[in-house]
Amino acid sequence: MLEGIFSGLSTAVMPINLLMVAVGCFAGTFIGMLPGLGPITAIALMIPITYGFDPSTGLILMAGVYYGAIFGGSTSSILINAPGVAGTVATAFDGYPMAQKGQAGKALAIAAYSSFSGGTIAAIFLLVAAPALASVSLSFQSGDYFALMVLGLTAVSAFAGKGQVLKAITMTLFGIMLSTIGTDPAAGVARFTFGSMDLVDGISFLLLAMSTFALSEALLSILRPTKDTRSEEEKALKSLGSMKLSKEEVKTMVPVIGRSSVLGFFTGVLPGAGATIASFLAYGMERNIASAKEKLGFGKGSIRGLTAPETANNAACSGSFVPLLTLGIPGSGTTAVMMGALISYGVQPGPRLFVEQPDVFWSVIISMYIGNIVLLVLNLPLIPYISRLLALPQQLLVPFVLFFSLVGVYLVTFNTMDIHMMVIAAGIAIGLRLLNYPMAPMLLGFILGKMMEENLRRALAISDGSISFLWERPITLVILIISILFLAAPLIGNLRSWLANRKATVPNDGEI
Amino acid sequence: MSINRDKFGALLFLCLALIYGFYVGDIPLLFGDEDAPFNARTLPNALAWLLGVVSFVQLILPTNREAGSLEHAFRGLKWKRVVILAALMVFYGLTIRQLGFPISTSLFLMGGFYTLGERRPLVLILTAVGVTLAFWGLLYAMGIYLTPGDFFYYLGWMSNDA
Repeated sequence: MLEGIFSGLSTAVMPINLLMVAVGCFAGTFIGMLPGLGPITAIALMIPITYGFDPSTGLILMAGVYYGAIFGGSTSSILINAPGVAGTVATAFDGYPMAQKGQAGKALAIAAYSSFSGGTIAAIFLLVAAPALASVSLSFQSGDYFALMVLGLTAVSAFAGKGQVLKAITMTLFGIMLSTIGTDPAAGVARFTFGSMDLVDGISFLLLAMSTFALSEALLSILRPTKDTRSEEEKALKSLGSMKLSKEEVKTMVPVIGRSSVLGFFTGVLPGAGATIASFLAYGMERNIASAKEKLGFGKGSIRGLTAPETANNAACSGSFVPLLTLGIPGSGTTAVMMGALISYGVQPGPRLFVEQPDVFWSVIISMYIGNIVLLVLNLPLIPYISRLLALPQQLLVPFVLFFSLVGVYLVTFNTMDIHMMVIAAGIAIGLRLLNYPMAPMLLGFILGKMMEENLRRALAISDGSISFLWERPITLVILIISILFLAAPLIGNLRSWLANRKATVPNDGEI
Repeated sequence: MSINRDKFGALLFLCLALIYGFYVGDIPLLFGDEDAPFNARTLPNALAWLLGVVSFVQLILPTNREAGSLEHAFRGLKWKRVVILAALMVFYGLTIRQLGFPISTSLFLMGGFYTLGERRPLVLILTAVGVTLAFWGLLYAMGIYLTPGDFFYYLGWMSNDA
């Protein structure tokens, strides 16, 4: 392990990689601050740039963008109560009231120190957990992988939120359906290509990610214009106030950081959970354990209320790398995009990555520390300068996002048909977004679909066509039972609330 | 009467499941694969059934009133500019080979800026052309050469011998 850490360190501190961490953090912070564009879009826009790089460098850049986007989202949450990303919604609960009290600089500093601590502590957990899990998962067989993929997909649906479970399942299935387009890898026969040569290789992952996130988010910002908050944000940044924290404030933060890091990391490890759920859980936990007097301060600029979600969301970002790096299963839409990028570099994430390409494995983990330092040391003081980029008017910004998305895909294949397919896919994505269908489960289904089919086929071939592989090994059985529980829990909850509503609306006999 | 947004979505996916399921039959099978426990049609068949069942369940479940009507979801949207931008993207795809990267990209960007309300000619031209040429140069430096376009070869301004 020590050898791996040193090898990772030597890769991560290479000048090009250090530069990429810094560039990633800056670009991520800027995109995260923009209304409507989230970390998935930020990472997707970076993929074409990373093609010319070594896989480690590419992944380091994307990890930097991920952290930066979450940090950028926190900035707009604190300053103008407009979270750029879902993972920073809870940050606004106490961050914005602090800014209103004239303590915007302090709130930003608390957010940065919490993010740094949460990210760093979680990276230490990752350093220990990832190799351990990777060595355990080396004994996994095709059946176990199939079960794990089912778990990943069901968990994403289960954590989709109230009223969204069936929609998330629908989108996951839709994503798997899209993955079946093209040549069947085992039989070599064409499926759903309708005679088109452009579909023989299937739909490109990059094309799908770019059109359903970058293109559709940019077009939606025009279709459904929201209040342009950038000038407000710029104005708020000009009167930040002091960024210094007192000893008492630091003392208040330390235990919160400890608790929220652990909670955030383990929530991030769970497939489907991620930064948003982690930040809400941490905020809720902190509020519950606070004294009655402290509870009154929550929502009015409480330091604990700001520290908890900020620590947890960054810890969850690190945690979400555990299933990606060790099992090859992305736990969130963001890590799904990273996994797609890794596959396109020719790197297969999973337990073999730890053995076959330890430099990629370790350098990503080490770069997380560096990314956190960059965010704290460079981004925090430079926030007022980064925010100047926000002055770029929307009429210029949106065509640039469209251009980078289109050309990013075109430069990979040099096929103009891809540009037209992107327009169609973006149109469908906009329609589905307007119908309130989540996009991340589709992307996850698309990525895991092919692998799931391959593993299921292999498991069936090994067990001579019998589905007994589903219960023969305890690990497979346990994973499948957890998947069923994940899926059943929200459905049972919905059914119970429906029955309760029905009972409430049906008048009693006595009332007739 | 307007249909509920969720119900409309479920109906769309039910139709998709039926169409997808219909075309599963068109997937060719290798000799002997018909009786194999897993063939090229197995997963698509399962997916068609699963999506059909999930969307049907969504259709028959009680209406979620919070979702609102379909009309409400699509009300007040500014379609015109999005349609023009989509047309510009199609135009970009059609011309990137013929007109070449620098010209088609500049035209696309200028069209995009104009559609979204930029009217200052200097900003329109300088930003579009400047960014295009800078990006073209960056790609060239990275070893990716994009030809100026077939159009210039037809005119004889460029030679393939180079």
